[in-house]
Amino acid sequence: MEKKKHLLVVDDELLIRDLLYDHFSGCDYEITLADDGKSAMARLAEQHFDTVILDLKMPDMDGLELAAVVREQQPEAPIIIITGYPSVDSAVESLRRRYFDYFVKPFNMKKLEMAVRAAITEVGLARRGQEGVPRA
Amino acid sequence: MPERSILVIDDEVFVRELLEEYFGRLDYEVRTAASGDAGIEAVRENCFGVALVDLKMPGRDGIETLREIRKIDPLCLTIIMTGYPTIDSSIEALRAGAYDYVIKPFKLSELREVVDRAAGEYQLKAEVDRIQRNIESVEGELRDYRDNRSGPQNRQQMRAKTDYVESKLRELDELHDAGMLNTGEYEVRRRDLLSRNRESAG
Repeated sequence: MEKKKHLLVVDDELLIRDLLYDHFSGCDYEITLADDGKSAMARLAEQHFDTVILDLKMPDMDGLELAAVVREQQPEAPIIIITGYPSVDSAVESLRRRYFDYFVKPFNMKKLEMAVRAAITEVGLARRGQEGVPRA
Repeated sequence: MPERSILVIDDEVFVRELLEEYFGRLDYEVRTAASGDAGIEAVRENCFGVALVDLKMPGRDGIETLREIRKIDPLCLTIIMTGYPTIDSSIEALRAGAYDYVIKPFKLSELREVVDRAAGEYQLKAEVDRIQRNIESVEGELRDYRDNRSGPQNRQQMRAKTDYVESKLRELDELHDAGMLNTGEYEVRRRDLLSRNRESAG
């Protein structure tokens, strides 16, 4: 059996964490939750994640700052931004840093799930490209 | 050198002329197109390292043009330019795989920085792509080499050889059964035939 894909969800809103937890555990993902930047960094130091979903506005840290830490510690992990306070600046910054997607709250959970799946697939393809696709 | 070639797609003639002159002086080879469709046509015909695409154009807009360019030439790095930045269009540009999203009016020197960086990145990507294709062609040659030993054409020859050996074995059996071949000679010839069969299979 293939190992479950592991997501890190970072959001200070309990409602959002619950919502994402319920949805993604129902889709056979393993979820780790963090409610601020500090605990997110602790989780990042402990284990590898297949995708990181993070909120831009948190009490202790700016989401883009945290995203930079994610990129540094786990460069392969796709980053998906979720925010209730979207701006051209943060969207363009996300584009420049090649984050995988940017969702404005409230968002469609199914679309987020599709983005996660696409992100994980893309990482898999890139990895296979580097190693050379095994041939029959 | 494609990394030094830029395509400017903008419906405003002033912007096209300005960028053509500016980047032309910086030793870039600049082509211009007045619409998304004309730009896509140019990408089909030529190799560009960088495309500068205006967001708001009549007909096909910048995002649609960007998507099409990425489909035709995934190596070409596309920069969206706009005087009307919005959250939606910047998110769409991110999703479509834009290299950057620059807001007009911009300083030419700032745009130059973005374009220079994109051109450098294109050069790297093109090099990686070239190496990748080289590896694939070497792998292809290796595969051909292996296939030539046991490929379809050869398999046919092998089968013919096996058929021949089998018919000879049957003949031997018949001769031996009919008492026209003594057992010692029968064994020697049989072994000889079987070893020929093994050689062709190996």
